[in-house]
Amino acid sequence: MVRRATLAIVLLASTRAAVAWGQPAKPGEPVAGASPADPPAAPDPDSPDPDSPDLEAPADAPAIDVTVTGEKKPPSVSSLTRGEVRQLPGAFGDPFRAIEILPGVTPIVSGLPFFYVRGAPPGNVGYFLDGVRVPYLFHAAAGPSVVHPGVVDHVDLYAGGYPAEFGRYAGAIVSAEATEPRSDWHGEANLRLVDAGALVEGGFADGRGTALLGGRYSYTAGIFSLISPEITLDYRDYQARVSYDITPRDRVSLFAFGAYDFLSSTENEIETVLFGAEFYRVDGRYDVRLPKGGALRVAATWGYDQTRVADGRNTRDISFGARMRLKQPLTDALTLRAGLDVTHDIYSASKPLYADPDDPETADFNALFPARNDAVVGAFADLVWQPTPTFTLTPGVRVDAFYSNGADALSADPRLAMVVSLHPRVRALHSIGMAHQAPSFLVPLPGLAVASLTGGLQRSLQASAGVEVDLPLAITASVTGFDSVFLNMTDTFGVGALSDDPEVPRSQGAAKGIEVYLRRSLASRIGGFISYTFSRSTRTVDAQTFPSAFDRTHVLHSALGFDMGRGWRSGARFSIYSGPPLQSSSDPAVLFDRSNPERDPVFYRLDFRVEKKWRLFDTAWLSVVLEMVNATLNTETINGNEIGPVSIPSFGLEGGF
Amino acid sequence: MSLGLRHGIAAAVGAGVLLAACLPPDDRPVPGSVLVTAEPSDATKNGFVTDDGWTVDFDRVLLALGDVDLEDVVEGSGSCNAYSETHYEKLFDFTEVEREKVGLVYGLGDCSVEYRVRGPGEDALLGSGVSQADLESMRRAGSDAYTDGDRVTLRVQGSFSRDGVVKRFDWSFRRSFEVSGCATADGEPQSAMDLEGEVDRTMRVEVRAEELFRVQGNDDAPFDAGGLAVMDGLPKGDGADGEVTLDELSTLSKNDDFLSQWPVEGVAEGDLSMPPPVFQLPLMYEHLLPRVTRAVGGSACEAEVRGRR
Repeated sequence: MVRRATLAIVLLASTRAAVAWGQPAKPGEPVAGASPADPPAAPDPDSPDPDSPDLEAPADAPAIDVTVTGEKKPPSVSSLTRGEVRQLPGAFGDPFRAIEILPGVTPIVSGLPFFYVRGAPPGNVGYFLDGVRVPYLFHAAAGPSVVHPGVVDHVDLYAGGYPAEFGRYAGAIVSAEATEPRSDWHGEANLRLVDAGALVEGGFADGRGTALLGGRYSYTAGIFSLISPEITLDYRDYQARVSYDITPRDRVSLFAFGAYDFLSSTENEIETVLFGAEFYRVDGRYDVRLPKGGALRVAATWGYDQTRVADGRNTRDISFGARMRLKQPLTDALTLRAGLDVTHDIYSASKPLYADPDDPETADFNALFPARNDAVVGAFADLVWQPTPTFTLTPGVRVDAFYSNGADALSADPRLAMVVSLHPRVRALHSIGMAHQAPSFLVPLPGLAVASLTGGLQRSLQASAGVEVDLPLAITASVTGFDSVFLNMTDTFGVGALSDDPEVPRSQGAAKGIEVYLRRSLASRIGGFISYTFSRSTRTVDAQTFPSAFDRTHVLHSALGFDMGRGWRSGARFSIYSGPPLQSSSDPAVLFDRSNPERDPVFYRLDFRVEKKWRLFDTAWLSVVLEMVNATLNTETINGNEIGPVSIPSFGLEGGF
Repeated sequence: MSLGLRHGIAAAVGAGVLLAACLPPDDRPVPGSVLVTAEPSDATKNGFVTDDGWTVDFDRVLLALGDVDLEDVVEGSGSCNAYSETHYEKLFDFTEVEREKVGLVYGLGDCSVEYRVRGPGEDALLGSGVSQADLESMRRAGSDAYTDGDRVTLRVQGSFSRDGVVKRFDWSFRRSFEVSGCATADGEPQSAMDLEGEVDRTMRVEVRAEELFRVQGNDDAPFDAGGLAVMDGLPKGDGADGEVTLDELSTLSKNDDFLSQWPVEGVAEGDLSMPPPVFQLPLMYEHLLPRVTRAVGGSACEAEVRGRR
């Protein structure tokens, strides 16, 4: 049995980068392959999850490498690695799509990639890729995530009380870390019914430099043209990265990525855009490895976000940002993490060419989303104090200054996390933290941000306490209770204004619940999980408290994956959740007319995944994958309206070298 | 910096630039526009005399119109490219209005102009003759025999008189309609238009409160107030109070012995040009209320009952 540790040495069957270059090992810890230029072995997306070691590695596993994974996770985080996610039925190999199975996550509608996290709506959940803010995670029409899975090493969900490094979101944080640059040539590709993707990476300058190019393109436009010629659906994304080691301790890199989504209808040779969104990022970094295992990153980011809104206008945001991250062990027991960041957003919108100027919706839009310059400056610091191997305390604080459209606001967010090993197999995990956020849209859209700060920032106080137990057979179980308070929120649609700000409806809220998570890595020969959340999320307006729009009391996900040998692997997933409250039609001023309203019926679905893999030569592989979301073709009822069935079949080829 | 690195960076940046700003601007062909306006009929503004000799005067005619959109003339034909629609109502007192805008929409092709008669929303605009208090009053949800928890769509206040007998009325109707297919009596389409680029068109909607006094739901039916006057005091039979309410107008369906009470004080025999049952509330709700708005100079439009939202 191998247990998690601060820096776990994990035996892997073929692995990723030997050492996370930006995540230096602690002094005294064993490190393998310490040079960033050392080429590791070819990757296998099915390799067991390094966070969930499995002694039952497949019998056909190739040579074993030693990998040192990153630092110990804070208590508020749930992590998913690609190797594990790839085996999750219904996720299509997308780490981001797999988030929905984690405890605390409540779906809005099955199959759609928007979810509440511990009572926080999608607009209060921040998405980051390698520390760079991204506006949305998924392509339109139930498409894949906007980042090729091959770029993503792992995804962390910070459900609340997250580290001081993260801020400006009153709900949760979804943070993906990109893979480390690799100088050995490797790549992968996939071909599905609706899209194709590829990624290739290799080195130059004798391994001091690396270059990565990846992307995905949907040819659903062609397929739709056969079925419905008037509909055009198009999405694509790309990733490009170049890195160069100036010295063994200094690296410069440029990471560019972006995504594009487009849905239109053509009638009488006139194409009308129904939905369009895009974003692009170029992030230049300078990484320095500091003495005693410290690390420093200085980065600058350019961003371009744009969305086509209903009246034919494009709204856009051109952003410039800079950030600095420092991690420096001060003593054996104390590590300092600190940083600064600044972002400048230039919002603008094209004028609606064909809108009634008297329409209040047009006036409301102009008031909420005027052309303007916004800025935010933040600083954070926390100390990871581990006086004994069984006790870790992480106090931290984050301070942000917001400016928008002539108004400003200041926030200070204290955070505290604690991990206590009660027994070699039992840990107590606690976190509490405050978070602030500027007014937000219910659902995040590129280039669309609410301008007004006059009503103040959204605020949340999030606390959680739990116990995590290592069980036999590499099974981990955890039970976590959470309690979140939301203040001055802008998430409720149709709720009367609470603040002096007439433009943005505000509400107060709370979320309480218990999360149960029992898991064994799906990358194991036999793996699976049970994830159950029992919660209550409410909003309060004028002393009237009612369930929030998508409060689901019970959410249960379970999955089982099985390696059947000879390259065959199969899995099934079962999800069931109780219905959200029905909206009241008699009094639109309050969405829900009582504290215990009628609810939509329970929904459940079954997903499955079957894969046959062939190993080609020593370092290549080819797979055929059949996968389906909602194989039972169940319909879902939202506010009394039957939706669907939202069923997504997928059949494709995947391969890599 | 090596040549390879420079090439790599250039390729990455170039890829980003090439893919940037792909989303096109609104480059559709320039459409035509339709301005929908509303105005009162002469009878609504100045009163009229019914066919049975009663003089009807309207003190207030509060009506909310809006949510203008364009649809295919033939449903599903794809003949109309609607560029926009409006999402608001405008509340008017048509005793005060001359002619005012209801909404402006854009489109191309063979389109049918539709609008709604509905209880005003929170963000409804105020037209001539109305106040915020009127808006709040109209927005107050209520119920009657035909609606449940709906806002007021039409409120008419006024009086009708003859030979010294004066009857007042203050009626609030709560049914919403989507109005389309307006045409002349000869069947000539009035709300169907061939919209061409850069050509501005206008559709004039007329509000005819007098339609509530017809004895049947057609343009040839006479206007009659005597039959309404006789309802004053029913169903309790406790005498007329000078005001005819909607409750009283719904009496006949509940009070089968109405005819036995004849004659009613203040109403002469022969005042009823049609049998009394036609004055039931159902006539107003089902047949007369949908006729209150139409295109100027036209016949009644098609009015489909719709919920508020």
